[in-house]
Amino acid sequence: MQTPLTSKADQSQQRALENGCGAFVWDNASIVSHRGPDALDLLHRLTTKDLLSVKLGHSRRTALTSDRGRVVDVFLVVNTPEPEHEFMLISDSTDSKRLISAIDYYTIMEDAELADMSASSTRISLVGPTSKKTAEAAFGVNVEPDSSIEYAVGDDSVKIVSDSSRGVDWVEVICENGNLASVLSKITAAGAVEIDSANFEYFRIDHEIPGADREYGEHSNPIEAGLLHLIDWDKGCYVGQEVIARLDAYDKVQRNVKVLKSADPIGQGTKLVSDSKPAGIVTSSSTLENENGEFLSLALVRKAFLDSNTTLDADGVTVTVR
Amino acid sequence: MTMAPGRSVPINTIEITEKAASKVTKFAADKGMEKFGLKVSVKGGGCSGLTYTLDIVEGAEPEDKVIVFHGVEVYIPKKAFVYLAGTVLDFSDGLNGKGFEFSNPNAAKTCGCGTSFSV
Repeated sequence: MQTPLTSKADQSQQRALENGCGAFVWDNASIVSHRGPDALDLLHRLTTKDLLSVKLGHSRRTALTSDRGRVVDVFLVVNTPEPEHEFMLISDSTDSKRLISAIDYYTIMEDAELADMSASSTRISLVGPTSKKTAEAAFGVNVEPDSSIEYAVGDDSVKIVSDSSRGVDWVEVICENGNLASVLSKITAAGAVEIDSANFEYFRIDHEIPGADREYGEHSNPIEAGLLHLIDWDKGCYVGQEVIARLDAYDKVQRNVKVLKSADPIGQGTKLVSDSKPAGIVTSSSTLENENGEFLSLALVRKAFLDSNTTLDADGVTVTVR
Repeated sequence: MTMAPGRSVPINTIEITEKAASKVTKFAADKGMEKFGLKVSVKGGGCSGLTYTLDIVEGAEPEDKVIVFHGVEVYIPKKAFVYLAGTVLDFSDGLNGKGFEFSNPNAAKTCGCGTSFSV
């Protein structure tokens, strides 16, 4: 195995994420417009969360699964204040076409259209306990939980969307590409610290936040991928519901997402072994060393090995389940 | 539901059984509708991804395909027809009956309750 280049986690960036507000500008994120009188009802019928109760100016994250119960994508549904029947879908996936084609496949009689806004829009995630206050100070708005607000920048608008589904305070800011510099300067002037991708990834792993095409994807179901909170069990049918309900009812889920610690970095995709028995697979790994001299990874770990302090072998590197 | 022995439906149409047609007529009468038809369609959603929809309506839309079985007009939107071609709609009653049942040769997979399918 080739040893990845490593460095220390940046303490000022990690402090901002843990105690203040970090601002991460995504190189590539899926931003899709879903417009039409049937759009919300269709998304409600297709995905794991009850979306019919998402009112104007509010948002909710949901998961689209296949009829085999595997995760196709996870996205924030934003019911934008203006115009009516227009929704913004924000996904961590870099492949917007996958989300569009999946929804389009199920659009038959519905009056709903999809448009890819990813290339013309920029996504900034404000993360940390003061992220809402930072957004409020930067844009002079009141940010309620799971709300969506528009802020005018010239003829364009910036969308400010709070997301309570991540387990940490999280606000999305979506703007036109041309407005990135001015929007980012407002955010940093309000106290946010810019976060680079390596430190953002370290934080995500440390906080056990599942990532697109890492912990969740066509290779995993939403329960094992740490997305249980995105399933509304009493909402009725959605694509994959029967399979997912069966997995839960008969306790058939075989793996869970866990944070691993190791003295050396390990690569994504490394198989975990315990006494020659398969124990899981590494789904995300950070090349940043923390203050304790540890490297962190996320893995889908088999049930028998989930206990804290269980040691496993990752291609010659000893890892410990945190 | 399995297709009745010996029954085959041409792929350019769908069929509703006499029992299903009589139920539709009864439901329309219960609603006080003199002129009616059965709209059969498909929408996204349900465990397997595509869900059948049935509605008793007063008339066809301009784009609907219209078929008559046992005195009942059946309206199928063109966009939905590709998913329904060759389907038989039956009705099963009694304690173990499921109500209206679709036997769709296009369905690769059907959910447990029979209301959704994938192709």
